[in-house]
Amino acid sequence: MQDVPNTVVKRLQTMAETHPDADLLTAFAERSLGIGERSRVLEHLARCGDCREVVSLALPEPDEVAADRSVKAGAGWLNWPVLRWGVVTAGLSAVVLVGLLQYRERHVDRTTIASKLTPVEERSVASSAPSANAMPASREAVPTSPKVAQSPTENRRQLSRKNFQGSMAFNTQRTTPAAMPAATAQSMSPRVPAQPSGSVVAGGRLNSAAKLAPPVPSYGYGAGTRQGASTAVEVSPVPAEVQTETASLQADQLEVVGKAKPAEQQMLAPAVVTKSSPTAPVKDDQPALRWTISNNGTLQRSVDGGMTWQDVSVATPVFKKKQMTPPTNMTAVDVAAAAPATVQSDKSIPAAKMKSVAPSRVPIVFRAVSVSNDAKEVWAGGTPAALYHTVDGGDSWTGVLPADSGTVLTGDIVTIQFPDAQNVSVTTSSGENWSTHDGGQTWHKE
Amino acid sequence: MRATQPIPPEVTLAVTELLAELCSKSACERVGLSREALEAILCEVAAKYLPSGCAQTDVRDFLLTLRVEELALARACAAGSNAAWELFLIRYREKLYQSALRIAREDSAARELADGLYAELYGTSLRDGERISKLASFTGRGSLEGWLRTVLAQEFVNRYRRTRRTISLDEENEDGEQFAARESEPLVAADTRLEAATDAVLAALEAEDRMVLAAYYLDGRTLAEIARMLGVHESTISRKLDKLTKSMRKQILAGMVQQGMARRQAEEALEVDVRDVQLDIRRSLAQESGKVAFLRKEGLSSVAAKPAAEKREVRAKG
Repeated sequence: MQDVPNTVVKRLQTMAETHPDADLLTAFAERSLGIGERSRVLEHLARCGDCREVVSLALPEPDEVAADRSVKAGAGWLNWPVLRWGVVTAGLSAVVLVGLLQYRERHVDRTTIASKLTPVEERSVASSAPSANAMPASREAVPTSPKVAQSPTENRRQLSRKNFQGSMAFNTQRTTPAAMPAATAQSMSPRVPAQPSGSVVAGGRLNSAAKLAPPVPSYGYGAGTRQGASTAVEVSPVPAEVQTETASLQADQLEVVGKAKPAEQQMLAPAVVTKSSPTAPVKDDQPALRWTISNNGTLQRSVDGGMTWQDVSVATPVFKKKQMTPPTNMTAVDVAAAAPATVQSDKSIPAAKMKSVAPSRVPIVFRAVSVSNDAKEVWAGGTPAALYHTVDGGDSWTGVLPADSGTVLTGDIVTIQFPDAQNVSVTTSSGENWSTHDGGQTWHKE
Repeated sequence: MRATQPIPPEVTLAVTELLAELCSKSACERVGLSREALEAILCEVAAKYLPSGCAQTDVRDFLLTLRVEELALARACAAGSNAAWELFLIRYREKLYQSALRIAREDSAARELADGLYAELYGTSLRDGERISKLASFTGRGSLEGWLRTVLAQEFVNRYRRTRRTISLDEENEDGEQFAARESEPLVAADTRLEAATDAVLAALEAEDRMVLAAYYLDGRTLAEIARMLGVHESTISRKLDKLTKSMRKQILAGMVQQGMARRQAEEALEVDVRDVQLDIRRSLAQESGKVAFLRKEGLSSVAAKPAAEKREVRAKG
């Protein structure tokens, strides 16, 4: 700080006058003097070093003052400091949230455009989906099935309003009623994947939208009770024997699922959609199919012999598996719907109660991939305890959780051995070895 | 003090009007102070602080700002009520020692300080066979606790600070300060116009600004300390000082120019004076500390002040 001329200092000292009494000095320090008296005391203090020293010495402890303030501050949540910081925090949260959602939305947009999905294609997908073999069969065989569905209208709405992610995110705060039964079903009856029945269960509890942690896919039993993060609904691709109590919902849900699928795919897995559509540029029997795992653990597929790579989402509704799934077999599939924001609950559509919103880009970090000779059948595994299987070159994926007489695979999958279609063995980061000799229906822990 | 000031009629009226309220507020009878005694005290306090001829509403407002409960307690103690003393000791004994320790920063000095104050509070001196308690001078303008701290601080400033300075002469000798080069006399007498200009600028300042300047440049207080004295934030003081130093230099120069000095001359005067004044400050500070700040009848502080005066003489001779 710049010094004042010393003459100032000198002239500050003048003849001392009568000192204010202790009462006045106390009242001054406690700021209980009127303006007139205060200025008189100040006037004296300006001249009298001794009184300044007295006032300074007589000040209460700084922590006493602080303690007083904190007591006052603790009086209520609606006081000013709390509100002030609360507003700042909320504002920051909102900004980060919107930014995050915008980023995701843009990403999805890009992939959607890349797939060049025309309305015709979309329609064709829409029409092809309900006709999938697995659909009616699974409706009969499995009492409960995917509760994950989005109505087409909702999806379209979602696509059209990219700029309202913030508001949509808040909708995710609702915990859908359907999520709970699903979660309960999982946690109560964990079954081995050998069970012919399985279900797509995307359930879970939505967390507050203000939490900005990246969505962590929960892949285990009782996942429904875990807290999802951010805008994502937790998706628990756990094979579960589904309870029959929910069967009443079933028919409706399946129908809606069938309808919802095209739109969902358009949103979430454009590559898959293009392949399944007759007009899609990529054909199923494309010879130069290649697979890899990117640095960040994303499963990638190249349909042109490695020239370009597409991220592959393993998130696919169960009914997509038209060729492979036998009518009585429904293996649990992780429906990690990659919608960047949540779907609004639509009361009129029962199936829509269950939101399937899990980002396809983030959830699973793949660490191992094993491919058959024709690159159609692929086993991919990674973190956390994620094992996926496709037999149609990545169109549809089956989430597999190896389990053997009550024990399930734990840890992350680090290697996959895949000598032929029937024999698969995997090792995990926790040192477990699992193998199957019937193409993944039953598993043995070694 | 009690009998010295005549009580203006408006004070009496206001006190009478508010007596019942203040009496219940102060719970004076519980500590052994009668309603009449409280009335007399209130009149005395109001007459002491309020200018004569002020409106009755002003008196009312004033009375309502008083801490009557603590006032009643203090005065009851002064009057020798045992119940009041017990309450006083319970409430303030511990705090008083703590405050003394914080002010003196040293245990034995703190104890001495606090004990000395206790003696005064209890009333050691007799006048016409009556104990005079220091508590009788409490007027309830601020809190009793704050008042006790202030009184302790005054006592400390009077006694211990000066004593320490006296002792420090020996320490200075040990440090070899007696061999220090003689301070040269100021070669250039400060221009009276400079002083006049400075005075004018200082006089134009708000009292608070001057106080801040003095506390910072004279007392060497930190910004935080000054801020706490004034009950504002540290940054407020920092900004204020910054602004003041900038504007004052300009104003003093302008003042000197106005008095007929050339701009350059004025600037030179300002700069030259800086060195000279440096010496003057040291001297005037020493003189300042030689005075007894809070004169009391006991004469303790005057005794303490003597060595300081001697010290100055020694310096002057040296």
